[in-house]
Amino acid sequence: MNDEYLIQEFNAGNVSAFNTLVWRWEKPIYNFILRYIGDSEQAKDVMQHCFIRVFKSLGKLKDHSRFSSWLYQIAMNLCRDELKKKKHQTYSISEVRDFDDGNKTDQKIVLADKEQDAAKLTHHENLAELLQKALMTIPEEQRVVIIMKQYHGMKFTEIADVLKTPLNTIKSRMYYGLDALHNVLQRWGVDREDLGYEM
Amino acid sequence: MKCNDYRLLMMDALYDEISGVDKKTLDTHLESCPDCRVKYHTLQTTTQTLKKWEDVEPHVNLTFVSQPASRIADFFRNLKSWKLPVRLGVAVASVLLLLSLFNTKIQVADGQFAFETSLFSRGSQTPSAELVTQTDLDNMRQENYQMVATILDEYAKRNKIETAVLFDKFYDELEKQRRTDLQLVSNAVEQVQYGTTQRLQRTDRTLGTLIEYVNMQNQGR
Repeated sequence: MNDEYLIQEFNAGNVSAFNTLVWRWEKPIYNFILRYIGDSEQAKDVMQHCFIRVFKSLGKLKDHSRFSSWLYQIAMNLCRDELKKKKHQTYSISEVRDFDDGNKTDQKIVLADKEQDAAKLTHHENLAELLQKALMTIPEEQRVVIIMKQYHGMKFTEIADVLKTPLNTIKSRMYYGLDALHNVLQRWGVDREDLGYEM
Repeated sequence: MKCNDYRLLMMDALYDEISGVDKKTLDTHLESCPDCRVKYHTLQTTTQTLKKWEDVEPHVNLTFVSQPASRIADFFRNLKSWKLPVRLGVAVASVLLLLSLFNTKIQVADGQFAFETSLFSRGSQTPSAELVTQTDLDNMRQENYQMVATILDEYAKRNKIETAVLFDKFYDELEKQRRTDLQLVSNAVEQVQYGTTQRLQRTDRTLGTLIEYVNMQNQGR
């Protein structure tokens, strides 16, 4: 049973077909969201919202062969909303601090603090958390391309389709994203031995 | 081509999306450019690092259940999947049905059920005056008189019967009451007679005792 068949069944009123779709996609979507927003609890909430939205609007999807791209689009939009909410929360805290200190806190200082915290990560911290934090330091537009390519095996053309961005821009973001990640890991003193693989 | 132009080819090569021709072009450049070679090697290392991060299970039980069936919602949902001619047909049929419903006349009289419908509103259904002759009118009037007379007769007969029955009932009740009253009077007279007899007997006994006492007194003297 492929996705298209399940979608047809669901549109005909078979809800269990939708559950099969959920079981098939919940793991990749959860991991996509987790890597995008970097918080496992929030990732679960966003994933639920994602599938609820899919449940409500699957009937409107005309080209069933584009289901996976459409699903990732929904997940990505929800992740963006979630990150915006987070950003607003951070700013409001900064503003309170501004009033207390009487000085404007520069966003760069906040980022620098984050990097320092990350630098305190030592070898005992597991690889997943390390890479998660590294991913969160790079720009969102590069992060999403890396996640889609590296962890979901999407072709560059598919990523361009989902993000509605020119193909070469996607490849360029991938390049700069990987480069930025390499620099972050190097700055944190993470070398190949720490990662435990052989070249 | 400048070094920057090879970056896109590096991405294609890293993920095996590069064509044979482009691969040769890139390899040739990498052989001649140490900076790009180092960069490409760095990118390979980074992608291998990223591969170490495996997917995790969400541990969330997401199960959707069907909502209570709404036939109207189902109808409108199915409507979207119908072809245009079918949709138009249904629309026309719905309009005709609505028109006919608005112009439907239902009558129930004397146990008779009459149903009449049309697409458009009809005028008044009274027969034209020109079609009714004077004879017809006279006949109808005569029939009406007869009907009224029959009804009045029936009514009078029924009243008579009801009145007679009522009188019978009244007479019976009166007779019953009279008998009950006579019985009560008779009982009362019997009780008075009995009481009087008792009292007379008691008086006789008292007088007898008194006479005996007087006689005894006289004898003693």
